[in-house]
Amino acid sequence: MSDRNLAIAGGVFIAFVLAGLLGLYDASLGVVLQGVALGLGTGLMAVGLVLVYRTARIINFAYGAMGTLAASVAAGLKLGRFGVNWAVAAAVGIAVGVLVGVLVEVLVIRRFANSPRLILTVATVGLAQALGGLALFVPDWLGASALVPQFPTQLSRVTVRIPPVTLNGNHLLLAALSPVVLGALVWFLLRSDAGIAVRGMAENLDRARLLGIPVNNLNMLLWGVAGGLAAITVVLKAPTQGLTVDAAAGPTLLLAPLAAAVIVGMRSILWTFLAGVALEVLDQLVQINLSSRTWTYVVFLGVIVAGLLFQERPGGRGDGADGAFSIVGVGHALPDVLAKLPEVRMARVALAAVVAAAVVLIPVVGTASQVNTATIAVVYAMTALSLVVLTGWGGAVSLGQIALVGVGGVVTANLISGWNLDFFVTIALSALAAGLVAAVIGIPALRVSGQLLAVTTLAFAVAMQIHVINPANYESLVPSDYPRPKLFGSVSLDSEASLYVLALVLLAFSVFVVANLRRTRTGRVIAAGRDNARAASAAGINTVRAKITAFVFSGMFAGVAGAIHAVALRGIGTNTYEAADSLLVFSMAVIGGIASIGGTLAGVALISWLGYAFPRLQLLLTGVGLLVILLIIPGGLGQAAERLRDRFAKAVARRRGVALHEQLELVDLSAETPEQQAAAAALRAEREERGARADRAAASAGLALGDGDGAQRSAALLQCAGIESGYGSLQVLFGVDMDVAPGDVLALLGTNGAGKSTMFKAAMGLLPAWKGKVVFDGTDITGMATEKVARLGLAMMPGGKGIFPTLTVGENMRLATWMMRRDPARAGARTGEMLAMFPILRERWDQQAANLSGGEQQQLSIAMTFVTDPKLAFIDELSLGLAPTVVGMLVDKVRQLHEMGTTIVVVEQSINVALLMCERALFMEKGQVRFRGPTAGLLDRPDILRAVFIGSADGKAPERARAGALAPPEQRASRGVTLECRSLSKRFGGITAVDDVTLRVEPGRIVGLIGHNGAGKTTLFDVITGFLDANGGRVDVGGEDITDLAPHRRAALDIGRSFQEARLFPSLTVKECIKVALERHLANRDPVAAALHLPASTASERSADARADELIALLGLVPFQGRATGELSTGTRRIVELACLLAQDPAVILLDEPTAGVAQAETEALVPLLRKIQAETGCSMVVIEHDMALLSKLCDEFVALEQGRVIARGTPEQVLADPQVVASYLGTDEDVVHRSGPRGAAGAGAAAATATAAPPHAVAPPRPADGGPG
Amino acid sequence: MPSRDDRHRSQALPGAQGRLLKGYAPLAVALLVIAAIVVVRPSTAPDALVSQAAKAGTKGQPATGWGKTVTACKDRAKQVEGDSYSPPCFAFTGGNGGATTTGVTAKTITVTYRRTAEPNVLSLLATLMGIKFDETPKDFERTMAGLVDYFNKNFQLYGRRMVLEPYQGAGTLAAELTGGGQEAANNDGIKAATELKAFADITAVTQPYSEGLIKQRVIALGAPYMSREWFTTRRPFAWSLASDCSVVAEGASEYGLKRLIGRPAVYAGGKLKGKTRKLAVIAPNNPQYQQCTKAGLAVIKKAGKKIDYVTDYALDLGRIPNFAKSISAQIVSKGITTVSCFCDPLMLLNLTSEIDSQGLQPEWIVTGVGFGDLDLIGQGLAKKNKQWNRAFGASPLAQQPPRSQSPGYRAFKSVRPNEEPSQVVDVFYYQLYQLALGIQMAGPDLTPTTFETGMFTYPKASGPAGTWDYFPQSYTPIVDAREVWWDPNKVSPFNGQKGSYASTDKRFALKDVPPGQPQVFRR
Repeated sequence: MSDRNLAIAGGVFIAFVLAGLLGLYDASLGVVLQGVALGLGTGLMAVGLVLVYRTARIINFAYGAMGTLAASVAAGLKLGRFGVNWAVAAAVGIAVGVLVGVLVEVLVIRRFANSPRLILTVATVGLAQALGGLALFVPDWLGASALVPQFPTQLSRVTVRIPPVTLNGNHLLLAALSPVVLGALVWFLLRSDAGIAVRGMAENLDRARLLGIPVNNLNMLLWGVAGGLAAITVVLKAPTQGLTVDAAAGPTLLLAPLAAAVIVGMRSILWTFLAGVALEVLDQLVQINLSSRTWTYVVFLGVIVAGLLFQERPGGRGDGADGAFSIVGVGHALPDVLAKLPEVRMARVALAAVVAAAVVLIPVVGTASQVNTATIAVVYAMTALSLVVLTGWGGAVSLGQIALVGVGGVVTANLISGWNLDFFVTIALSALAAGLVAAVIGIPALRVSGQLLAVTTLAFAVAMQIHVINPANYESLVPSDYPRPKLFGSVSLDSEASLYVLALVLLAFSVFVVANLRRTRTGRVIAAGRDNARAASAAGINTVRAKITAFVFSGMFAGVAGAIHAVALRGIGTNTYEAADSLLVFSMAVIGGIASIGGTLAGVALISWLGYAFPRLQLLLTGVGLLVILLIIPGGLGQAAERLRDRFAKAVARRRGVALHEQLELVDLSAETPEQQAAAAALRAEREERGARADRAAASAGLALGDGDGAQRSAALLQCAGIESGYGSLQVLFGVDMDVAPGDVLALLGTNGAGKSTMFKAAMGLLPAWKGKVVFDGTDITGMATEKVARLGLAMMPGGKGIFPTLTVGENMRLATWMMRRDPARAGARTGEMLAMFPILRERWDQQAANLSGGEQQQLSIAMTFVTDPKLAFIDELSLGLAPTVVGMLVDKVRQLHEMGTTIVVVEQSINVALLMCERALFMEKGQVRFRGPTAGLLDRPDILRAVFIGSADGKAPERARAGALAPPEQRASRGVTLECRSLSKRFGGITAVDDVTLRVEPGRIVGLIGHNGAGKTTLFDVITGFLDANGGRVDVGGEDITDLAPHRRAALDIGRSFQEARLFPSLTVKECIKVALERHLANRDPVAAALHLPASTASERSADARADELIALLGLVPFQGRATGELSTGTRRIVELACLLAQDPAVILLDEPTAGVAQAETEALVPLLRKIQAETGCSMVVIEHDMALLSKLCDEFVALEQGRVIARGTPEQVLADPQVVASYLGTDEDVVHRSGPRGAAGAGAAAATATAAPPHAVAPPRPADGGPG
Repeated sequence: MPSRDDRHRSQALPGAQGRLLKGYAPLAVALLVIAAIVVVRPSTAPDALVSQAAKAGTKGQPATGWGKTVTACKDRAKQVEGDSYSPPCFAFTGGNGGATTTGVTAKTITVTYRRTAEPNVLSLLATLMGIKFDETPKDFERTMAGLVDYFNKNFQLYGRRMVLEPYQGAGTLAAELTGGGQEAANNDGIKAATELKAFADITAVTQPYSEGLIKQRVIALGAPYMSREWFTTRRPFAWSLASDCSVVAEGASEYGLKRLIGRPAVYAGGKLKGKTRKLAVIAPNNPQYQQCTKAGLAVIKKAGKKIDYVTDYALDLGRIPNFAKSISAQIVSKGITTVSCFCDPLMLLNLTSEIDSQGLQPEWIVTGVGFGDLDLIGQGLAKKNKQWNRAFGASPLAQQPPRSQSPGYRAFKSVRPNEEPSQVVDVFYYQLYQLALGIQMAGPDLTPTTFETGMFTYPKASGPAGTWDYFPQSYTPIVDAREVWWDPNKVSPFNGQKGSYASTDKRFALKDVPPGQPQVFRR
């Protein structure tokens, strides 16, 4: 919730309490105070949850277990055989809590440092079970009870009476300690170096690392604090509220703190604490005013759901998702060549036979109780299958599946006992009922996902367990006794074997349905929505419906499981459906491999067997098992089995001499088809010619081609050799060499996506160098932790993210001197020097950095970078978004800093600024160094810059005539659909991202949208495609107003779109991706037909298969068709993306940087493909692209944007020559040159020359796009 | 690349209706077949377990074989001389019918004994209450085996003998006592019934396990404090020594009407002392206790009275202390003088502590449910504070005699003179007594139904453990109570520790409570 909403909620709550105190309902001051007393503990626990969330971005489901383990030690020491004094026991307990926190960080959290947050969250579920399982043994070891009621301590004699409540010393201790602990926490966070660093880490972990802050140690400290906080809370609550060491109690104990943290949006510590207090007050008031105290659980659920519904939605393209859970361990089929090997087929048959025999033999050789155990395992298997659909494919983490099993069970029980309906009808109705309930739960899931959904479902499970499925509350709803039906009037399910066989048949049917769903459109769109909701919507998929479908199917499987479960138990009672069992089922599924049907079933079988064989250890084993699986084989047993299968198959293949296709990525995509070969060859020739011209121009300016710095290498301060790196599967750097000599000032130049910033990150250790070596000052720093690199004297000022916005200037500087904190005198002196250099920082010392102007923030960022007197500093985007006067001043400062002895490497959007500062330059293109050499004189040679950046040495824009193969625009095929945007505008707060843009794309035309970073290009695409609502204006397609339509409906109305990052759907195969894009052409989208493998679905799928095969063959994707797109290179994904667009076959295609992240060779293949697509489909295109040369060849028309407004439009030649466009691209070169002053005598001359001689049409490289590698 | 039109043509199928028919025909056929099967051979449930009302037998005679193979003993009237509860003595000649039901052969009657992670429910409670209780599972098992020997030796079992079959169960008492752990309990029931072929189980001390057995048609002895509805819907399999909580609640209401309501709270302390009583009734939010509460409140309502504060709480172990706080605040604010808590021991522990911390000294009514009238629980409660020193009420349990004089102890020693039984030998003795009683009263044709009828033919008897009577709707033996109070100084015969329930030992029928202020706390 926003502060405003929180304030409103707080006001409503206070009014509610006052109404009670005024007698409108039963309330008294004492009850309220009692709630406050209870809430102190809850508030502190919630604060601990928030503390972890703020730094690790995870909800720590193990938090309660951490506290309980510590408190069980404390209570055991006092009440068990040792009879230790409470003060001592409590201290030991708190120490144990701290230790547990530290161990959790070191042994678990750290291992998941590079995992998606959701994975780590799931790990905490396992951790909760492991710690809970461990805690169960503590009472035994200490000779105490697992159920500890309130107990007296030395403080119990001290009492304060506030009718009708008397608080004793233990309450008072907690009350006194809460502000102290909270104060200490606040002091720690606000005043201590470590605390400030922790806050900094929470805001920008990478920046903290760059400042040399030991994030691992601080994380350990933080988890120690969190563990201590949990321990303090639970230990100190124990004398007044007792302690329950019981797995089943876990979810209910964590509910109130979770609710408090969630409604505050996991933000403010103070608000969270207050929310915890308020919730306990509310709890007390609910308890005394509603006829059953169990309503309190429903109220908690309501509070959480309301809190989530009022949650501020993360907006914009940078939505920080938790990460898709099941992206790990996505199953893949064995390639046909391997699958068809006789040994492999035999092994498969043998394995199937063994499994089938084992399953079938259970009722034959097993005892009745063993068969019953197996039946229950089958129930869990069906429940786990429901998670395959919901979590494995849909990515929604549900910790409440057992409640859905309960819904199915209750319906079954009622229909048998009350109506004696046919059992199969009963099963169907149970499935429908559970599916319906699941759909209702899915509604919050449309708004929240990942961790917050997990909280919601857990609260739902608890409310269902204790309040709803409780015969005491709803006697007529929950039958406690009913007989088992007779199948077809003759087969009695009283026989355990009969019931088992029925359960097995239903499981088999469920597997059949799940497999059918996965193979067909329903499963594809659910997974696609999970993988990339935007891309799915852009393909015409209604992601809301897909998500709800996942919930419904998930609920239905759980409902069927519930029907069997209810019949197996023959009665439902209190606590039949324990929320803790939901965690167990979830763990089973994860251990098995939640995206894999076979793996999930194996997980259930394994854990069920462990539970049978070692009942007391089940919790511990499950928890530890889950952690181990997540760490070692994130895809679970399914993935492990796949690896074994693959090894076996490959071994067989090798023995038989069958060629393997393990190097598929090396296949040259660009030459798969004759059409591509021709187009690529033409372009390659053209490019070579262009490159040759550029090379000649560069050489004439003294720039070397390739790695020409060999002579310097031996003396270099920094040597980077053959660096390859990137983001996830996106490779950005392709063997970059860079040497920096001591005292150098080097500019790293290149177009957007060239890999400049990525190079910095790779050198600093923020990104792993996949290949190559980085040596700094004689030390090999390849793979070294960033903070260690920083300590060696290598610093980096990240572009636009160099400060910690919520910290004050003083705190920022304090963090910046972290590495000197043991030498306060030096730190003070250096800080003084920086303040002398940037006096405005002294004036703003106590202000939040976020409140500084852009220039002031940049000054702060520079000061933070240089305060430690680094040997070498990387400066990324010094002038980003700054006024010319400020840029000039900053350039001066950087020069001063260089003169003070720091070697500097600069990445700069404004090439003129860079050249003014630097003596040498490296020009990068597509992740490779293209030229290198001195910058002297370059400012006088805009022709060279043009040649370097757009390959034309004659000062003119590239000629479209080069694309001779292309038909003239007027002759091209056309679908007759016009895209028209009229006066579109989009504002974010006070920023107008799209400002009154009018754009008309005629049928069959290709329009290039240009503009530097932040110009509003992608935002315009988002508004056109419906991902952002327009604040004004309208969008028409083919004359139809689509302004208010959802993205998927716009897609259905002939708009197609690609995305800059080309993620596609990482877990889907190439073929599946293409079939996703065929959404609007499918003859049948009915999930029921898909589930039951009806001809309606199979015919539709066959048709989709045929079309996908056609496109795969056409684009040369045959070798990749069965591979997950997440495993492909960016270039290959671009081809797949184009195949998807062909499949979607829209009349208007919006392409967002189609060459971003693509190596040069692959880029050359893309352009002819785009042309071909246009020619074949007759579509029109709008293309955002920074490669002006390519764009110029592709487009009929350019539209240039600047700060959201159209500043020019016309042919590419006209637009690139437009003075406003030139000014926009060159930055404010003249102003900068005037104000920044000469670099030296030569610089002065150069500056002056540039100021006067730079031709108005000169084009500099655009700025990097949002969030992309620059 | 095919043209767009070609592609669209390739996707085209026949007309919409034809497509629908073709595409969904198998589903339609399948639905028709299923519908036909549902109509012709429906998969419905047979009749419920209970199909006919229970019948009372002829008092003093076994249910089967009377006058044929079974006759009255000529040498004595009682089966066990000197035993107040002894059934009439029967002589048996002829055949017993052999395997008359599951778990019964011509020579044996299988009685299962479930081992759980916790040694015994009483040891679990002792641990909870912080009372030393150092007996091992083996002690319990050995005691039970000895008592089985005793009944085999002394009761008329018609040529059969009870065979104790211990087995390791999957369930846990701690989970099952709060209603959880149903899957494991159910599984144990199946194991006892199908693998061990049990006729009865003597360790069915939790509701889930009892139900697990009953669903397998095994006689379950021991479910604690279930409601009348629970017993009657599970007849003839559910039996227990612990009183039917409906009866107890109605008795408690009678006790309240006759001795508490409208009278001054003379046994309260502090500012509550002497005030006209205001009663609170508290029970967990599970169906059985709520049914019992309703039964009790119905008695109050019928008398035109009302209870001042009636509330419930969830059997959620983690939050019971929280509930206790809320309830306690209400007790204080409503000026409650007298608390009648039909609670589990954990709630009692928390509630007494909470009330004590409020400085309140109400009267605590011993309700006779939730094990609250066991010395073990009282000792645990009294350890925390002095609240329980004001506890009194009606308890169906009898005064525990000194261990060496207790019937259970003597029975055990009579068959195993060289061994010492468990401290809780009497609990086991009376539990097993019911089983032996039912078997004898069933006659040679032993089935659960004849067992039930036999129990109903058992003539009402009074003895040191109260008055026993079985009749339709009464599946627990004790039908009377005595007025008890907590005496912190009295040494408990149960474990020799200080703190025990004291009584005048005058018993009264639960429906015939003598009027007047409680006659308690007489030193």
